[in-house]
Amino acid sequence: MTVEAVAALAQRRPPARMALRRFLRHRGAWVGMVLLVTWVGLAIFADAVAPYAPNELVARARQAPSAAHWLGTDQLGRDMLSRVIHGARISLVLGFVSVLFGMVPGVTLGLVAGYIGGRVDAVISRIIDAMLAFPSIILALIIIATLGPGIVNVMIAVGIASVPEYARLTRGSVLAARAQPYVEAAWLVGNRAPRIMARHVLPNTSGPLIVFATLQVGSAILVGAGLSFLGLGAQPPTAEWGLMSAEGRTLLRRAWWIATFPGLAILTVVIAFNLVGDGLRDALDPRARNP
Amino acid sequence: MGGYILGRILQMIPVLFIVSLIVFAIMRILPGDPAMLMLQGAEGGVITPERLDALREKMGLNDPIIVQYFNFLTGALVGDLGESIRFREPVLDMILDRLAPTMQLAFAGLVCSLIIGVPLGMIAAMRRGGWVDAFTMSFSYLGASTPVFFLGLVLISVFAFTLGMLPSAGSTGWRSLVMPALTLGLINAGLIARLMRSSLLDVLGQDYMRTGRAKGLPPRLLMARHGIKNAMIPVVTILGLQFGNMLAGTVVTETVFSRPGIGRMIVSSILQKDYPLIQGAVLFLSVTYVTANLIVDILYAWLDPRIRYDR
Repeated sequence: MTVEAVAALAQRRPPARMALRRFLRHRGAWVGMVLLVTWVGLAIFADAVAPYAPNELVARARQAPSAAHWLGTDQLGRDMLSRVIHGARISLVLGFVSVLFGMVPGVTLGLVAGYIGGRVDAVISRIIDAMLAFPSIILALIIIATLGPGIVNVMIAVGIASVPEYARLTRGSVLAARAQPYVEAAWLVGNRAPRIMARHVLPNTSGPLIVFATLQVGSAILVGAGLSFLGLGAQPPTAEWGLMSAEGRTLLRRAWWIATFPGLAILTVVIAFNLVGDGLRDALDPRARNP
Repeated sequence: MGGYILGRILQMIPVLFIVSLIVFAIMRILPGDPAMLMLQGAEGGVITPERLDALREKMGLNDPIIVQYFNFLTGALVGDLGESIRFREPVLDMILDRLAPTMQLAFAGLVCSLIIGVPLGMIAAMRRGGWVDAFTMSFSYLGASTPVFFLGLVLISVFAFTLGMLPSAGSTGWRSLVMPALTLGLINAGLIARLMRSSLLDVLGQDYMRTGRAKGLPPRLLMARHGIKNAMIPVVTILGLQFGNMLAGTVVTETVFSRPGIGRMIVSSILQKDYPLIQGAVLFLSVTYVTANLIVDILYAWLDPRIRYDR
């Protein structure tokens, strides 16, 4: 094949389009996308889709699922379907916001450590190691202990708890990217370090970051719901899935649906993010695919 | 091997130092005065400036921050983690009282995840593309996506309420340990199964396996002597991480199954703002986690001699 032919081939199929094609051919990713679009749609249009307001007392308490109340009513007589639909808002916002809280400082630290190297890298790496010495839920608990319970504090806590993982991932990718000729070329034509990091290194390390962040949205939702279940996150009467499960826990024998449906909702949202994340990984880095 | 172990222990020191700094910082960034909280928590706590100042002096809060940290660190090294605001008991005693149930749960969970995950991963790799393989992959997705509390509640519904086989709460007898351990084990077994599967697939393609087949080793012997042993190495490396997951998982599991333990104590101490207790318990769990990782690293180096020389 001549150089021209290779160039023409590369022009015909840019890497982004090839990745998109691989993503669209991924069966799991499709299932994940369908689930995700459904949940995001429900969250956005919750007011229009849900039959009742989430905190409205609409019927007798603890009614089993029926034609009138598809998912039954809770311990106070609120419609479970409406509460589960409204709960999607909180969980999705929690997932995305905590990823943002973790990613921005984490990526910055990783970029600085990986690009500057030397003592700066040594100090940042030790701090990352120490933070990784805590299981992330324990780290989140420490932060909640400092800030106090509440859903916003859970977002901050879950976000900060993931900072070391973003930092480690970015640092590794930057170390690999730094050795590439294009970084040296950017340096030789007179670019300064911040510009090289932002314009050349970061975009070339973004693949693994996008994949990790997608998977992290799911795990942030899991940890956040767990904290709310423990009473450290959302507070009553918020329609939050973890809190709703906790409220249904003591009524499990008489009214199984109160704890079950919010739990299933979390399960399906997290599966969606995991499937999409795996699809993205296979699309962006075909070599990392499962054998 | 001795040099390797010593090196790894020395590497632990800066990590533990920063861990202690982070934990110490909890008490200092807090809004409010720990001495004031302690007096408010005390029975019939009438707060006079004299009492507050006397307690501040006793707790060392009037010292410079560096002195306070030094005192905290030296105290922690000899096992003095302070006193609980609410219970007025030494924090270390409270932790030790709850250590056994938490460790039992974490170990039982780890054993469950291995008993389920390792054989599942092995069969999936040996019958690649078959239904066991498909089941293993779906199982691992489910495990990674299921909230611990939800699985716990489902198990309670089935085994305690519907079948009446196991107690739904408490910590007496081995029967009360089954469901909590199964909850933690099932959640983490998927990860182990997936790792075992890909590791064994990798091993099956190695030259030494082909050599084994060529020299006529019976397939079972080949698998037992060369296949599984080598495929287990990556599984062993994540055991420390898994043990940490188990310890972290006890926080939720102990609440779901109303078991006494360190995890549940941390949650209630946060809700009650019992800061010395939070600080002590978190420090204790973190040190346990770091130590577990150290033990796993040593085990790993023993299993795979290449590690000792690479680093």
